[in-house]
Amino acid sequence: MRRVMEKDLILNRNVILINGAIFAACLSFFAIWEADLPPRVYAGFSAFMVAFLPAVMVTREDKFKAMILGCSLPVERKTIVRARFVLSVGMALVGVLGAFLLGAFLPSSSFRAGDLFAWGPLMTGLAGITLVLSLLLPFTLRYGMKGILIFLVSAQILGAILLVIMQVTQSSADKVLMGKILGALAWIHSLVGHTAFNALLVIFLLATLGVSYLVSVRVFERREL
Amino acid sequence: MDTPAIRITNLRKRYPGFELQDVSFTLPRGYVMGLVGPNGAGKTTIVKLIMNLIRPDGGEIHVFGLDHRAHEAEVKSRIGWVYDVPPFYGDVSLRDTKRAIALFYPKWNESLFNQLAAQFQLPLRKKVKSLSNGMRTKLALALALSHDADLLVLDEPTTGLDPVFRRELLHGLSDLLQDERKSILFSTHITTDLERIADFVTFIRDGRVTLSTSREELMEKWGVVRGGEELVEAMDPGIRRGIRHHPHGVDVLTSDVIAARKAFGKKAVVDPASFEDIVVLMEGRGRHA
Repeated sequence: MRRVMEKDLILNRNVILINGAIFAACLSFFAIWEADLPPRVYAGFSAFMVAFLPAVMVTREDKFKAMILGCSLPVERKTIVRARFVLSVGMALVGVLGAFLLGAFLPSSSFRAGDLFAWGPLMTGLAGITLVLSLLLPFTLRYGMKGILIFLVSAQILGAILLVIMQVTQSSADKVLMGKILGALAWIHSLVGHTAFNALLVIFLLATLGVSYLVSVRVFERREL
Repeated sequence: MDTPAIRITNLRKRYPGFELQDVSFTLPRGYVMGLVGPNGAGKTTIVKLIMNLIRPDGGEIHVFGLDHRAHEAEVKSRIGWVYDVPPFYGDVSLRDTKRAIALFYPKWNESLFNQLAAQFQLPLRKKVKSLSNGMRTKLALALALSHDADLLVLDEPTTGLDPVFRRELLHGLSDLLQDERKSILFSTHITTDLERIADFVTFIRDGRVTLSTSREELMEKWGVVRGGEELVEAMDPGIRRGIRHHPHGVDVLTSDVIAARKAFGKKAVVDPASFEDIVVLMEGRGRHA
């Protein structure tokens, strides 16, 4: 697995660094100019951004038809999947940590270290990374770049449908449902920081990632190149 | 007896509009097998199946006696591969490409790679995208030859190479076979390449193996009978394997050259069959108006 990750880093090093720099510039802008931005929103946004870093590798694999290279080397497909998961989670964690350090220590930043290095933003970042990667990786491993587009388009269509339903019907049932969802989110929000809840959340996130890994192995072993 | 380098049994793969049907052949260790057929015959599909890049619908592939999927990593560590379109990252240097691939092979021979890179005039500092197709194939060959592979799987490796390098490559592959453990599966539609080095040949057409035999047997038993149109009717259909009509008469491919010589004597010319004769005549193309 280590060799697969090393190979991916050698072959994608420059693009990862360039994208990292672009993300850093973007996050610096938010940290300095968006003074009203709550720390949890900054954490969620940075997690969402860096969780898409593996997409860079997938785009290049598609462009150069290089998945054939990876799958011709003496390594099993499930090892390739495992390496992709570990590398993606690792890159995203480093990215979020970088985003927090940037937000906390950048001169003129609107955040203080204590705002970001608190349970709320930390758990938001962790949940953001895990959920995006858990959904994204099976798609990309099965369909490549097309998988990312399917993922993004599906998410947008789902969001648009929900918005239309909410705007058009304005029914009391929808309001009740939305009220319940928002209430549940607020309840979860209030629980962050409690040790037991944090432990449960981490277990839930790990289980989600585990299921995503098993699905990814299954679909990638069936992928034809 | 030695376990064969490759044993393929009743291999099947179906795509819309194409089907590989019950392909079987064996490549003994220490030999070169040519996989010959026109474009679209199924050669690349067989190579992809051996490399587990696609899944078979049926049949078995054993490499060095091991199931190629159950022992994927072990099998692939002993294979050097060259594809018709080398799958390298265009914006990465040759040196970094080599670094990334060398990681996977415990028997990687750095000095051999450097020697081959110098011989093939590969600019290691440049990016892959700056290379011509022929140079990319040379890079793939240098990589395939540098980890002491026991089996080389070469899919159209000479496509895009200039004639001088093609000949050098074929000499190089012959030299490699001085080591009797090494085997080569060489897919191509350029039949003249194979006549220089193949010990065995498998002809494929429309997803089916039409003939799989040794070059020795082909040279001994197969031939082309050239003469007038009456040959077609006169020849025993049991030994008639292909026909090509042309303005001056007809060429008939036979699988029993001795019987054909006996039957026609001086009424027809009987030549040894080249690989190209076999492909063209079995294909049934070349009917001139």
